[in-house]
Amino acid sequence: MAYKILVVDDSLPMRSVIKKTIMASGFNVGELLDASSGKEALTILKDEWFDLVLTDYNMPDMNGLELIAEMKKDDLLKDIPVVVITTEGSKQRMDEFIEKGAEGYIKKPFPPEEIRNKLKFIMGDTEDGERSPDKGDEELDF
Amino acid sequence: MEKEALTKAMKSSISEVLEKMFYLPLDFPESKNEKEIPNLKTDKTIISRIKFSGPFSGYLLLYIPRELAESLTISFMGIDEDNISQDYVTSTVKEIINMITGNAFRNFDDQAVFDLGIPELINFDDMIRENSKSEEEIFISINTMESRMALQAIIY
Repeated sequence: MAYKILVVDDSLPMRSVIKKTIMASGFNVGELLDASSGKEALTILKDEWFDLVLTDYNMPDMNGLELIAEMKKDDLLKDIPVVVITTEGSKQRMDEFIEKGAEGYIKKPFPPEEIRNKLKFIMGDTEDGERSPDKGDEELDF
Repeated sequence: MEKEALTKAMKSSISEVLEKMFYLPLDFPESKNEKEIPNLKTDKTIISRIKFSGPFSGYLLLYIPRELAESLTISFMGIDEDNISQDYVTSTVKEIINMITGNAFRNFDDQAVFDLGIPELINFDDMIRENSKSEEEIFISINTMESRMALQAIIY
């Protein structure tokens, strides 16, 4: 299955790097769009279906958690898995991401294979074809 | 705040970010008089600031020569020199300080929660004004193959 992914980050270079990393990762991508803010992401998400959202946490106006909160309020968006990409790395913050509905998180800086592995895991596209039910496992924090 | 531990965490973070994301080899020169960046008062150096708050508060400043910033932007975005824009360069510099700061606090204490502000660019005069408020600071010079940059933590 080819996945349709939305990358949300206020940093244009980071959006570019994340998109290139995803495209080069071998992950099965059908379409890859981006948004420069949480608000823009919501507008795009309300227009078309996505299989996965990767969002930065630290953004002006609407941060990654606020974006997730808005998505959870919408019946059409609440089930789209969201992965938070963040520079912040305290255990408490990571737990907060999961508690508030993120499917996983990636800490910056990240090697390219980390994005590939995380996406494969989240989308259930693991080596053995199975996905662990526990999304908050510490061992998944590459 | 343990200054030595934070210095170590900042250095580790600088190495991790610049080597992992930018493939930039670097080292940290030991100097008694290291708080000096070439061309600081000119437009040849970009100064980026990010505020933080948590168990202690303040901000980090990244000083980076424009030429090095342009080179890192080209490498980071995988674009040609002809396609580089000022917006790409400043966005890349902001992303660098964002990553270094978050990663430094993670290295320092992964149980503590630090809230980071949005990275911004400041000018030389603003930097001097902000520095005058500092109660404690850490200054790290960074040597790259062909250039020199620096990271400074100002703690209130």
